[in-house]
Amino acid sequence: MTKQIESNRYALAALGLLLVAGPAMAHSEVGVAGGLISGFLHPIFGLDHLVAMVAVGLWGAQLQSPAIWLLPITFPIAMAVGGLLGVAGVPIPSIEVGIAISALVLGIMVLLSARPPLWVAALLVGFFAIFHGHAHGTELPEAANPLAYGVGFVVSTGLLHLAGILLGVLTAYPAGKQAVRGMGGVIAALGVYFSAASLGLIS
Amino acid sequence: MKYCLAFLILLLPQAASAHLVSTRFGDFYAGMLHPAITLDHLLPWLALGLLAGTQQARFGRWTSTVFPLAVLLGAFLGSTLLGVGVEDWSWVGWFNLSSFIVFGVLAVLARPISALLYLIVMVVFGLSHGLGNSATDLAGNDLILYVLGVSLTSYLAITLLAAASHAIIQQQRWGLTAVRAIGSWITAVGVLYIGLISLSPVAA
Repeated sequence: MTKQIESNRYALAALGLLLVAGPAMAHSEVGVAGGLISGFLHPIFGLDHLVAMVAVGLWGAQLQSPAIWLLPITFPIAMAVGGLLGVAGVPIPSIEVGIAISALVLGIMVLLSARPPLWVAALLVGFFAIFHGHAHGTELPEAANPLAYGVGFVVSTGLLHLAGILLGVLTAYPAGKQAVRGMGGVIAALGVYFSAASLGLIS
Repeated sequence: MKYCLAFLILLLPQAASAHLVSTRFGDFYAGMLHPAITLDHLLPWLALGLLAGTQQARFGRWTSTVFPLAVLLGAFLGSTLLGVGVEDWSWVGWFNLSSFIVFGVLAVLARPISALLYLIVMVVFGLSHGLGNSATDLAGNDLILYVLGVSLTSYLAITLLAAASHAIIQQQRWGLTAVRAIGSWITAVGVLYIGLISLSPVAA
């Protein structure tokens, strides 16, 4: 009998706790912080985004001023235009293929240490940025906080360019120039893999 | 006996009031916090601070005085005008969103701007950001405290950012590149956010 009463007390206490239950907030993907974090991590966890953005910084460092600041400025603004197209639901064919090819082409540019006219380099970077932006833009309306998500992925993109520029400091040394070109080769090879995967040639 | 005394004290608890937020001065903090935790205000102010750093030093001094005063005036007018029934303030939001792009692009270009144009742009957007920080439910001293809080945040943000931007540009070879890059980020965010609100207002 005593055990029965004790058991009932526990049940009542549990019921009482259930009545005052609050949200667990076990996941941080809510509000401004959630939008910021998910936007920030999106380009970093997408290796195809990551290598292409680092390649922009590497190529800028190889080309030096004014490309070193013009290319990383062109990319986010063109990316925003691509994002707008994504938000508007304007379809761009083969987005994933475009992103993969961006890694391939930009990797080749770094590998060859190509020196086209500045406007050509900016046009190329801007063209590929539209694909990256479109991929982000389609996810923007579903984000926990769209403005924070946008801030997160733009800042993340900029920091990846910065990482490329910092690695590009190596170009000040003869061996470093070769190392940077080697990085371009690795990025181009990854671009080949991403392109084949996006075309369904490999699983 | 001492336990009895402690027990009696526990029976007579008082509110601690350790934080001024729970007193009248709290409206000042509410005013300070509102723009500080609202990206719609904070990002364009960051761009304006960067822009001020790209100009001559006197532009920075003007920015740190004129812009907060314009914000103060805008917030006060907005709060009082809203109180007499002005209902449609959606244009203020659009105006403030456009400041992402105006300040961002000017920071990217980092070109000398005519003093008159600079002052006009600063006053106009200062007023609009002040209007965007209006409070409809305050009056009297509470409103004054709130408005002062808003303008203090604008003063601190703009002054610190303008000084930091100017110092980095003057002292570091990469300073101007960094300022231009961050300006392009803010422009990009502005383009995306304006697009999102125009094309998918429910999501925004």
